[in-house]
Amino acid sequence: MSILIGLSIAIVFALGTWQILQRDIIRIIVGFALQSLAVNLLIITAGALPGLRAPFAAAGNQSTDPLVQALVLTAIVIFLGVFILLLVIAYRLFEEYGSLEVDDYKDLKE
Amino acid sequence: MSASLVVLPILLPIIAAPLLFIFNGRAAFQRAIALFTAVIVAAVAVWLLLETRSAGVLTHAVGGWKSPFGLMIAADLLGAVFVTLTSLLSVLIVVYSFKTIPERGQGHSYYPLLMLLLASINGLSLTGDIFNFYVFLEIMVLSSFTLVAFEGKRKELEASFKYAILNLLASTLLLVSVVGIYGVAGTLNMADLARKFAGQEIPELVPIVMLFVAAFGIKAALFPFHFWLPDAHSMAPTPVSAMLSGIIVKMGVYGLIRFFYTILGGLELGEVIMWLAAVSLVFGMICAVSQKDIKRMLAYSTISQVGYILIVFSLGSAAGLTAAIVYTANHMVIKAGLFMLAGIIIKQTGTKRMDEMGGLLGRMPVTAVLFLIGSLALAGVPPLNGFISKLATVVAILDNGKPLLLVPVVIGTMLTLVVMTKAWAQIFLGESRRKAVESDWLTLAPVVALTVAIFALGVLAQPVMTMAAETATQLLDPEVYAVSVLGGIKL
Repeated sequence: MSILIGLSIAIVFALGTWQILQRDIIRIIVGFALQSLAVNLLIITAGALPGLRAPFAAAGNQSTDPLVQALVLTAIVIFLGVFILLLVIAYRLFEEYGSLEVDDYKDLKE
Repeated sequence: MSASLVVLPILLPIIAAPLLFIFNGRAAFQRAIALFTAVIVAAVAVWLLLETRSAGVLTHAVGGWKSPFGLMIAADLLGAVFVTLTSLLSVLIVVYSFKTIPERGQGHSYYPLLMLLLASINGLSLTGDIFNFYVFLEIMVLSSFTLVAFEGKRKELEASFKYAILNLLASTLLLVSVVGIYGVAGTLNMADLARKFAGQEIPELVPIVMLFVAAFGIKAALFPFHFWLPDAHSMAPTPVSAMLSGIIVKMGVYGLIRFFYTILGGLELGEVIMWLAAVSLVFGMICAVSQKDIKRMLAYSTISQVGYILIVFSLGSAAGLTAAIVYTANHMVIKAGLFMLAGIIIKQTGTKRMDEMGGLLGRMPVTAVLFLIGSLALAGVPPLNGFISKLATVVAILDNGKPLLLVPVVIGTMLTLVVMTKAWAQIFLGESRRKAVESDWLTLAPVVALTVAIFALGVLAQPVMTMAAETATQLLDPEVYAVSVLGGIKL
């Protein structure tokens, strides 16, 4: 089970990295989003191991670590804000240049 | 009282930011509130520094939760020094912004974002929890990349996008390493981590260390990760450039110091950081030689100056840390002043290119003299403060028995002198091509204050050196921090 989760984190992170290396800014932003999601999964797996119950659901010490779930909530909220701001910048870039291709943005490299 | 003193530098600007949004569209109100907040925060910061120096590490447990379980805000000397530097600079930046930010931006989102930036940097300096550290780092990136794109034109947006993606990638890497640390140690509290890692060899920490070195390397524009910096720093509105070059780049160095010394209790990967820093020191100045845009030239010089700071940091000795802290303070004063002067010159002449300026000495004599003092200080000419930081650097390197490192240091210093004198001659000497007049006094006042600081920190260097040495001693003994934060608790 943990191998499966570990593999999926690796695959999602790698896909995100691959997307960030593309020339289209929407793809770059999606790549960044995929990476963030992979990291969120990683946070969850740091505390949730197979065979443990949800925190506060049962008495005893058979519950998962509740702190990682608080952390992942914070991380998701931050990611949402960042994602929206990046999309706004991408939209403004599209308005200015009429293109989403990084290669068309040449004003800085004069 | 001391507990609230620790929280105020974070809380006040965070309260001010939404308050400023309420006065959306009323520029005079926004200016007054921003200046008022910045002055109060600066006063609190100076008080905090004095208090930390006399009473040791000050702590506050957020929500009353006891130390290893709740969030801690803790001010040791390093944090207090960074808070003081940031808060004093932000007062000058607010004053400088009054006339230089276009009227359309004055009443809207500029000052709220600046206050958020101030809050996040103070938060980074004072937090005692690594996840909280990541959150403040994210707030810092968000507010600064929005400020870089503030003018909303093509180049600004492009620079802002590049800055955002690179720095968010760094934040993601940092988050992975924070989670890794949590996975290994089961706590997020810096003091608790220091206790758990003390004197142990933990093989899992190797990839974690590599991850956060890469993350802070991107933030500090260390050599292979430097390429976002010239764009962002030259395209941001000038007061924001001063903030970016003055303090935000150094938060990368601050993070390295915090993670290595406070948490891990010692430097690792020192050799790698050292040689990358040596390359970025020389490389930054070589790029600066060929620049025509005045702000771009200053931005490349920032890469090289952060190289100096990282070189002395990577020595891992008390003298090295002292030099790194002194260098950070002095470079902040010098570079913020130079960026502000560059902004004044650009505004008065209407061009960013140095080869189109020329002959401004007769038209703007005050600016010319201030720029000359800043340039000489950057190159390290005595009795200015740049000399003190260069001296501390050389002493630290020789102390550590690595004379080979002096080669990049000397080359970088000579190139700095060449670049800055060439730029000065190009801007102020020769035939006059542009009509320009001296800027108004309100805009020049912060630069004059910084120039006075250049002289003061140069002539009265001893108290600064003593303070930095005390900070280094405190950092090299992580038990001081751990005892103050955790109290008597042994886990």
